[in-house]
Amino acid sequence: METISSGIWFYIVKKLAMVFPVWLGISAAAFLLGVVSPSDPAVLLLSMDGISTPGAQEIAAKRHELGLDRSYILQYLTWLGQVLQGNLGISYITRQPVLDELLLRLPVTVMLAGSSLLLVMLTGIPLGVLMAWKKNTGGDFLLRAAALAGTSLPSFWLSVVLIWIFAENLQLLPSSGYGTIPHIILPAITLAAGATGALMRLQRATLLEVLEQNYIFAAKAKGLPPSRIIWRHGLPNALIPVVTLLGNYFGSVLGGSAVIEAIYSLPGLGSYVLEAIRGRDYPVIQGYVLFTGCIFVAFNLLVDLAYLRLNPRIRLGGK
Amino acid sequence: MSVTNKASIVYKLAAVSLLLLVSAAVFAPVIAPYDPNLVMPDETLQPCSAKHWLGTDALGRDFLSRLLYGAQVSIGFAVLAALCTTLLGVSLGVLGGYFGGVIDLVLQLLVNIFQGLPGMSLMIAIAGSLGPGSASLLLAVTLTSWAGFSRIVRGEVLKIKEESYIEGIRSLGGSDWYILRRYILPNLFNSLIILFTVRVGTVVLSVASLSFLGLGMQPPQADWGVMILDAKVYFRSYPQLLLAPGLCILALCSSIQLVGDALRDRFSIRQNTQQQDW
Amino acid sequence: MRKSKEGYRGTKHLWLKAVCLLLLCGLGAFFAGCSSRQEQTPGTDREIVLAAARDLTPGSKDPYYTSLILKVWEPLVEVGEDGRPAPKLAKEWEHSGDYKTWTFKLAEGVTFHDGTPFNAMAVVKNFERYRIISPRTSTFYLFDINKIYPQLRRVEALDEYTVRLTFGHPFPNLPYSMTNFSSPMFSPACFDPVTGDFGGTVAGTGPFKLTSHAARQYTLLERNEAYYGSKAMAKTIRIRNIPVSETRYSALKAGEIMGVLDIGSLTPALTSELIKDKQFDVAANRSTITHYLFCNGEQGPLSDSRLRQAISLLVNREVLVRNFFHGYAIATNNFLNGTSPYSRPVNPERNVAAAKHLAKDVLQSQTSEIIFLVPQYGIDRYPYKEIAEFIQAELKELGLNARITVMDWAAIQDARAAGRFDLILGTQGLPSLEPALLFRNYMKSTGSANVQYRLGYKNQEADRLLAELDSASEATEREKIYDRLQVIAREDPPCIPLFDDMNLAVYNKKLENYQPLLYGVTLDKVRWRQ
Repeated sequence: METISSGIWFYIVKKLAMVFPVWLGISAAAFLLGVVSPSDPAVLLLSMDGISTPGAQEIAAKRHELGLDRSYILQYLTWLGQVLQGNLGISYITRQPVLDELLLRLPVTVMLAGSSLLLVMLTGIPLGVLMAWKKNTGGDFLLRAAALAGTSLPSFWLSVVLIWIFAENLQLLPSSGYGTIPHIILPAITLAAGATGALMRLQRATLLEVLEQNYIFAAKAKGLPPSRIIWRHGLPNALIPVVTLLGNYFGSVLGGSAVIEAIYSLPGLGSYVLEAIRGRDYPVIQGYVLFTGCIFVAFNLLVDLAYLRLNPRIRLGGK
Repeated sequence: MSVTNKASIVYKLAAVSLLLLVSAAVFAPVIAPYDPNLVMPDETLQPCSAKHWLGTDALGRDFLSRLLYGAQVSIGFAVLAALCTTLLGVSLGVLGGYFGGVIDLVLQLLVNIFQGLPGMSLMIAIAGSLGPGSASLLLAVTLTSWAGFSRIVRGEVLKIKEESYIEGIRSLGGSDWYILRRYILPNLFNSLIILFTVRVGTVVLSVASLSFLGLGMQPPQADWGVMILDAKVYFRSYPQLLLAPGLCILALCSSIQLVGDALRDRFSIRQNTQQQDW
Repeated sequence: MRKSKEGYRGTKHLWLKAVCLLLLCGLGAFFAGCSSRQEQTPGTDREIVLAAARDLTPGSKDPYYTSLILKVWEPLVEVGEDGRPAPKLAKEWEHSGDYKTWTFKLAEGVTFHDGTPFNAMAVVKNFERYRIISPRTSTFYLFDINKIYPQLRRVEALDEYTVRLTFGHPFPNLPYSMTNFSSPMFSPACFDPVTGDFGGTVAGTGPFKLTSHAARQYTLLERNEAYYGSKAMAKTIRIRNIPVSETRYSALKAGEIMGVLDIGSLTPALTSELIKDKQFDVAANRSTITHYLFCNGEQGPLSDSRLRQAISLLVNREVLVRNFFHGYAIATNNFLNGTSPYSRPVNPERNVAAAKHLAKDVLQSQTSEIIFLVPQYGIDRYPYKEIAEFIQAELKELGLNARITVMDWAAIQDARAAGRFDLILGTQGLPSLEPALLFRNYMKSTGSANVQYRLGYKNQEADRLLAELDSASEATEREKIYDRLQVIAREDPPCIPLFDDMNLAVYNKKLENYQPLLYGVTLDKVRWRQ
C-alpha cells in the first residue's frame, strides 16, 4: 500500500510544482501580448469617437497619464507587483477596474462553457459507447454520419440556420441576450456541435481498440456479459484520450468564444477581450490572459487527477 | 459481406468526392466560366440561370467561379496548416511522452503555457504584429492548436509505452529510435489520422471565424468561409449563397475524414480482418 | 481495486440517470422558455424593447453617463432640425458687441430627476465639472472644455435664471459649438465635485429617467412624470445592446425588439431585406457622418493631387449608393457634410474620360501598386467590403492595382503613423455644426487631421482664409470663407468625399411615431400603435 500512496503523492506534487512556472510564463506572455504591437493606445483612446484628431501634445499627455512613457521592464514589474496584490489594473477605455469587469463577465462564459461541455459529454460519450457496442448496425451508421456532419459544419453557419429556424420562424428560443436558460440553449448547441461529433468518433475508435486487447478476450472467455466488459474493463482505458479531448475543449472555451458571444450578444469574457485587443486596452488584455490562464491551470490539475482515477498504471508509480 | 460492401461503398464515395474537390481546386482556372473577381454591377444577386449556373453575389461576380477558386484557397491552406500543426504537435508530444524526464517537464510547461493562453488573443496579436494575410494566419493557426494536439499525442504515447511488449523489446536490446519507428508511431497512427482529418476541418472553420473578426483572407479572395459570411445578409432571399459554400465545407471535411479512416484501416499494424470502421 | 457488483451496476444506472436528467432539464427549459419569452404585445403601458449596436450607457466614468439619444439628460443648446442651434435648457441668449461675453437666460420651473432645481448655480457647477474632467474620452464625443469653450475665463450666475460666460477671445459662433454633447446638464448632487465621476445613477432633466442598466446588456428607461414639457408617450423603454447587425435583424423578425436606433442601427442591405416583410418599416434622415477615401498625400502615387482628382471623377457613387447602400446614402463630393447649415453641396460629377486622362498624365501609362486599407468597424457597420471591392475593380481602369487589407482601427492607426498605406476608406463625423474646427483640422497645413492622417495637404489660399477666420466675427464674413473653402476642397481635395450617411430608424409597425432625428430618434414620441 505504501508504494501506491507515495506514487500518488509524487504525481500530485509534480503537477503542483508545475503550476508556478506555468503561471509565470503566462504572466510574461500576457504582458508581451499587451505591448508587442506598435500601436499607441493613447491615440486610439483620443480618437475613439471617430471625430477627434488629437494633436501631438494631447497624445503625449495621455501617454504620460497611462504610464506608457516608462520602460517596458518597469511597466512589467509594476504590473506584476499590482497583480500579486490582487489588483489587475484599470481599463484604459472604461476606467473601471479590470478584475471587477472580469468577475462580472465570468459567470456568463462559465455558463456557456459549462452548458456546452455538459452537452458534449452527455451526448458524446454515451453515443460513442453506443456506436462501439452496436458496431456496424444501421444505428451505428446513422450516428457516424451525424458525428461526421457535426465536425464538418462551420459553427457560425450552424448559428445562422439555428437562429433562422428557432428564433425567427418558430419563435421558440430567443435570438440573443443573456438571462434565462433558453438564452443559453442555442449558443451552447452551436458551440458544442463540433466537439460532440469529434468526441463521438474518438470515443468509438478508442473503445473499439481497447476491446481488441488481450485482456478483453480473456474476459470474454471468462464468460462475462458484453455490457459489463465494456463498462468495467473497456471504458476506463478508452476514456483517457477522451478526457484529454474534453480537457482541451473546455480549456479552449473557458476563455470565452468571441465569435459565439458576438453573434448571440452574450456579455462574456470573449467579447471583452476582443474589444480590448481592438482598442489596445493593455490592462484588460493582460488581466484577461492571466485570469483565464489561472483558471485553466487549475482546471488542468483537476484533469490530471482524473487521469489518476482512470489509469491504474499511473497509480503504481509510473508517469 | 454486405456490411463490408456498404462500408467500402461509402469509402469509395468519399474518395471520389475528395478527388472531385481537389481537382476543382487544381483546375479552377480552366473550368471556371468567369473571372471570380470580375465585378458586374448590373448583374448583382441574380438567381441560378443558364448564364450563371449558381447565380451571382452582391457584386455581380459569378458564384460558381468563386466557389471553384475558393476550393483552391480553402483546401490548400487548410491542408498546409493541419500538416504544420500535426508535425509540431506529434514531434513534441512524442518527445515528451517517450523520453520523459526533464524534456517532458519542459515540454509540458510549454504546452501548459500555450494552452493557458487564449487562442483568439494570440491569433489577433500575431495578425496585429505581422499584418493580416496568409503567412500570419498560418503562424497563428499553428501556434494556437499544436499544444492540444501534442497533449493528446503524449497521452497516447504514455499509454503505448506502458504496454508490456515494449518492455520486452527494450530488454531484447531494441534502441529508442527502433521502438519509436516500429511500435510507437504506427500505434499512434490510428488516433493521429482522426485528429489530422478533424484538424483540417477545424482550420477551415477557424479561418472563417478569423475572417468574421477581420483577420482572415483578405478581399476579394474567394474563400468558402468568407463566402458564408457574405451570405449571412442575403441568404433569406438567396439561399444558394449560404447553402453552396456550407455544403462544400461539409463535403470537404467529411470526405477527408472518411478517406483518413480508410487509410488508417489499410495501414494499421493490427491485423484487422474485421470490417473497416468509419 | 475491484469494484463490488453493486457498485458497478450503480455506475451503469448512474449514466442512465444522468441522461434522463438532461432530457428533463431540456424539457423544463423549453417550458420555462415559452412562458418567460418577452411577449411584445401592445398595450399602452407595456415595455417597449429597442436595440442598439453599442452600449448606450457607459456609466459613471463617462463624461455623459448615457447617450443623448436616451433623452435622460438635456443640453443647454440643442440642434434644431434645420441644423442650427435651438434653445433647450437655455431659453435665449445674447452676446456683447465684441462677442466676448455671452448671457444665457435659462428655462424656469425645471427640476432634475432627483428633485434638485435646475438654475444658474447648477449650470455653474456643471461648468466646474467640465473643467475638472477635460479632456475625457468617450465613445460618443471626446469632451474637452478647451476645444468646445476655448479661452473661457468666467462662468457667473447673474441671478437665479441667468448665466454669463466670459471669453478671452471673441467667440461669434458659441451656440454652434455648445450643441448637444457639448453642454450636458446634470444634477450637481449626482456627481462628485472633486473627480467629476458620477455617483450611483445619473439625474438629468429629460423626459426619461434612467431606472437601471447592466453594462453591455440593456438600459431601462421610465417616463419622467414631472417633466416640464410634454411628457413622453411611452411608460417604459428598454434599450438592449446587440452588437451584431444580423442578430438585431433576427431579433426584429422574431418580435423580441420593436426597433433599432443609434449609428449603424441596421445595415442598408438588411434593412432592404427586412422591409420586404410588411410588418416593418424604415424612416431615414440625414446624419452628420460622411464617408471619405483618405489618401496618403505625403508619399506614393496619390501624393499627386491630380490622381486624387482622377479618383474622385472616376468613382461611380451612384452605383455604390444604389447597389450597396440600397439608396440609404447621399452621393457627394463636397467636403462638408450636408447637415451643416453652411454646407454648399453640388451634384457630384462623374467623368471617366477626364479621370483616365489625368491618371495617364501622372502614371505615364504604367500600372502602380497601391495599398487600400479598410477598417473593421466599417465592415461591421457599413457595406465597406463590397464598396472596397467595387472601387478596387474601378481603380484598375486608371492603372492602379489596389491591394485590399481589412484591419482593425488600431492597426490602421499604426499603418497611418508609418505611412504604410495609400488609400483608406473611413468616416468623419461633424464635431459640431460650426465647420471651423473641421476645416482647420483638415485643410490647414498644420491641422491635426492633416498631419495625423498624412494627407500632406498644402493649399496657400486655404491657409490664408483660415487665418482670416480666426479674426472674422461677422456671420456673413465667416459664411463667405466657408463657401470659398468648400470650393477649394472640391478643386483640390484634401480627401475624397463619397457619400453622406443616413440615420435609419427601422421599426415594427406595432409602434408609431418612430422617426429619425439628426441625432437619434423621437424617443419621447414613440408609443404602441393605438
